[in-house]
Amino acid sequence: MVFSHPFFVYAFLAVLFAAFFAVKGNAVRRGILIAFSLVFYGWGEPVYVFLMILTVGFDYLFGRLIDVYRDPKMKKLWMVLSVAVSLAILGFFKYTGFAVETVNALIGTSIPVPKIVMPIGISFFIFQAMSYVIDVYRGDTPVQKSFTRLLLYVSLFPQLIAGPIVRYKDIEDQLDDMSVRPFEINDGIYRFAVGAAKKLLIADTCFAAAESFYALTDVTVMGRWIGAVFFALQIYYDFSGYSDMAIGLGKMFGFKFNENFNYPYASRSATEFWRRWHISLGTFFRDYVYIPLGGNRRCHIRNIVVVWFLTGLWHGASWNFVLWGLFYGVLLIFEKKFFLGFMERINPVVSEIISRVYVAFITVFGFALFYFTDDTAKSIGYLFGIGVDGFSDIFARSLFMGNLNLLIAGILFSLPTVPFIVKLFRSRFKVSYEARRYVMTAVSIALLLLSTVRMIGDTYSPFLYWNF
Amino acid sequence: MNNNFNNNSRPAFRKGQVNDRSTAGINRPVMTPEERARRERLKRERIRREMIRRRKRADFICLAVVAAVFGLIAVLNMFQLDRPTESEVEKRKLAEFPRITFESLVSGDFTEGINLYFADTFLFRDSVVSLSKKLDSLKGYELDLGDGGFEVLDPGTSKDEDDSSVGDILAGLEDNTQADTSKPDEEPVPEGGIRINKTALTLTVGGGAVLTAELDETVTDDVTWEVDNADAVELTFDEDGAKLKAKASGEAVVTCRAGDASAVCKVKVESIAFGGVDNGGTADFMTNGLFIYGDAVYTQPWYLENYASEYGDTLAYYKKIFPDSRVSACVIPTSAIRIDNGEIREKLPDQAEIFTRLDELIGTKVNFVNTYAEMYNHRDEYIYFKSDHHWTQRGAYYAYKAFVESVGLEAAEHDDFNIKVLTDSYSGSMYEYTKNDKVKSFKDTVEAFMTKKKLTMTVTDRSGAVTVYDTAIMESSKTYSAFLCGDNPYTVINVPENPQDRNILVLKDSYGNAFVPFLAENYGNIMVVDTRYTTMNVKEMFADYDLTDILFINNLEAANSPAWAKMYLRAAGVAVD
Repeated sequence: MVFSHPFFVYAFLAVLFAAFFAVKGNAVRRGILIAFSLVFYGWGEPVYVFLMILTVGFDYLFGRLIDVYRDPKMKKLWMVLSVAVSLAILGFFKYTGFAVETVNALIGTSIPVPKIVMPIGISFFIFQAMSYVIDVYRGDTPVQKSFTRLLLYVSLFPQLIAGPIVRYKDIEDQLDDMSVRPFEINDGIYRFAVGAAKKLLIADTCFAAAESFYALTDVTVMGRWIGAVFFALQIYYDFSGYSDMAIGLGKMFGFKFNENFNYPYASRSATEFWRRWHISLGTFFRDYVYIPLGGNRRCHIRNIVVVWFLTGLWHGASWNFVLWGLFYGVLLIFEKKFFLGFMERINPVVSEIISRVYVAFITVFGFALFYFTDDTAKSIGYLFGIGVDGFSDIFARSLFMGNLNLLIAGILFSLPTVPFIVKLFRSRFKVSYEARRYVMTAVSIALLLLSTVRMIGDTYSPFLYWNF
Repeated sequence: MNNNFNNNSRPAFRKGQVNDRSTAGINRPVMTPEERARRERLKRERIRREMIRRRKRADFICLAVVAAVFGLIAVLNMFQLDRPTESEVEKRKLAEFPRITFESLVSGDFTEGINLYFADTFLFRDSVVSLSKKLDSLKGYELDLGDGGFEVLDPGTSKDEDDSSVGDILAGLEDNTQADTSKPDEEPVPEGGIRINKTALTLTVGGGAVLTAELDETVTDDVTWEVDNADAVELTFDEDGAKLKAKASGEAVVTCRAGDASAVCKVKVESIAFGGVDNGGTADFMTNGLFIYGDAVYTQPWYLENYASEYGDTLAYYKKIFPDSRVSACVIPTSAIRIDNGEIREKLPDQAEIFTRLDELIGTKVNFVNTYAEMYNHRDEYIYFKSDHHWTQRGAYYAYKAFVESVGLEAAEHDDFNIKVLTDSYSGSMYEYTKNDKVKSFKDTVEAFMTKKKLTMTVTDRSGAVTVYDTAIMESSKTYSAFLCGDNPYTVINVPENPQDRNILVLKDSYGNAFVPFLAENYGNIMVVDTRYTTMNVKEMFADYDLTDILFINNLEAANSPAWAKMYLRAAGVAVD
């Protein structure tokens, strides 16, 4: 089940709401959430839902073992074992095919590539379960003796499939009290509405625009770049929209998740970008890979390369994702060693302009890397005029005009435009709490209705043939 | 005025009054500083509680409103009494509630099916879908080229020429010795008896055959023929032999007698084979490379040398199997011939070149009608629809003119018709497909060139039902389907006042519909076959029909499509996969 499908909103969520708020009592509510979360996951993965439960079972067991054993060496053993099991599961489902292909390409063998279906959200729930065990081992969080509470943490449907990666220690104290106040529910609904609008109104339309540019048989430089911009917009709105929906849904049921995106396209460097983009992944790798490896104290460059290799790889089982990750790794090293210092020293206006252009370029270029799983080299070449049919043509110009409003809106809202306007307004006018809430509700309703229109409209599939 | 606290526990200071304890108790209440502080604290708490209550109320109202709006939608949607099963707008059956089986549950198909069913039967779906398309029009503008707006609707996919299986089939026909399986092998004429050329025969309704008899020398009586099932097979005979006409499905036995000798032929009559035919995705072509320019929607012209060559060879095969008939091809250019704008023309394949090349590929094999020149010369007239990918009848007239003149007949003039307007607000296929707001504003006029001649048209439709009309154009229909009642497997038009020995077999795609009615000006019998909806074997069916002309009408893209070449080969009785 996906958040952006009418069945989720108007059947699943509607029933869940009714059930959850009709009852009182933490245990019952917890039970309802777990039950619905399992149904949510099982809806799309009727078989692998048991894998997920099993994973939680393993990690619950390992957590208890770590807690029970006093000998540090044994504790370490259990932790290493649990991490190994988790990575093995993730590796098997997600990376087997990729690994075999790579081996074939490198050594020249022709081992048949197994076609393994990857359970949805596996990258997220494996990481979350791992984070629990490691944190227990490190003593950052007390062990969870209730299996149901641990299950609730991992399977909680808002963040199960598309993140953010919620750390156990961030949510540990929210697992007991299931009460929710009306203003939290309203906040949650608003956040969900914003996320839905980002995904359905902007992201999907940007994707269609990007596709139409890339579908042009005559390749033009202008067409490719604008298509790349739309793709960069699509990724941001899609991913951050999903995170917004997840955070909103969590809030509706009393859970506070950390922010996952903070206007990344307003960054002035790649370093800043990764503090604003997919924050939960960045902090995960920082806390569990970068710092244990020595951070910036020991083998700094090596650590950066490892982390970015893994970051790229996490995004997908294909070399262009790794390339994308390493691309950022290189940029980060370049920035740390030279660029950031340089920007500090020169004229602020100039540095502002340079950093904005620089970030725009690396973002769009980076996501072009991300998008082209086949023909990566050729597609990059197009961006620089190699192998194109021209700089621009009437089709590219027409697609550009035909998507101009979308482009402007997309860029505008990817920057902190709305917060800026709101702050400006509130500095001039006093706005009461009630007024703010009413406006927020009106916006939620409007955005959700428009998103619903899009949701249904997206299922339009006319049967053309017989009519002809 | 010392009026910082607007509450009632402290009266306003009256002018002249002194704030000292001497007047205490008379006009003023007494307050110690502690009391004052306490009162202020209570007041602040009361204000705070009031504010919290107001805020909670606001929160509650907000929540209630949202819950009401979306709860209502959810409930109304969930408890719909009559869920729709078909979409008028999308012309398809909507998803049904999925069947519960173990496999469907385990594979996830069942839940996926519920998702589909739920979305397909959502409340007010059709209106919501059009609203969604309207939202789309907000995302940008058309490109102004000075002489019209330009907007890409579908960028089109690049076309690859693969080796199609048509090539192999055609190669196999080169040394074709298709054995006639119904011929008796080497059977001598029985002593004192008759041998008929066929002892078993399968015909399709509407088809025919000729039977001849060979007599043993000793037999000298006259030969007569008879059939036992006149409903299925109509029999006429003369000294040359017997002419059979298949009228209805069934079985019949044809007996040939001469004195005491006799021979039989078992005849089986089958109905025309209907049903969905694998057309290899013809529809894709029509939606490839769509753009708006000015006041119309256009499709990009398309040319693939290999496929065009195979098309020509396929038509040439018809010439081989119908040696006494003239085979012609009318390939119709796309509406892009109307475009004069240089920038656009630069990006589109040049149709003048394409048709020259087609003439070289096809014109050497069959009569390749010069439709391109005729239509190009009249491109400023209303020859194509603006919101439909088809041509108008006015456009089809010019192709008709080019065709009949190429076979030595005289074309009728505009005056020979009653030109009627069926509707002036036609929104055609391009709107149906794109649902684009701009396209919606292109209103088309459907003109019908009604013949002044009397005719009957017998239509066998896709369900097998046969209907007889006295006109070839349905005036009551307000769409392109008015012509020939749309696409049907098999249609026969008979015009009594035209020479009855002038017959034509037309194999067509939907462009043929607007064209065929014009043939009623010249031909006595017109047989129209749409190979998308029938697998009939025209070779068998018209083996004895004495066809004067065979005409293929296809739009440019169909003529460059291996799917069409295959269908035509199948109709010629060739085994295709």
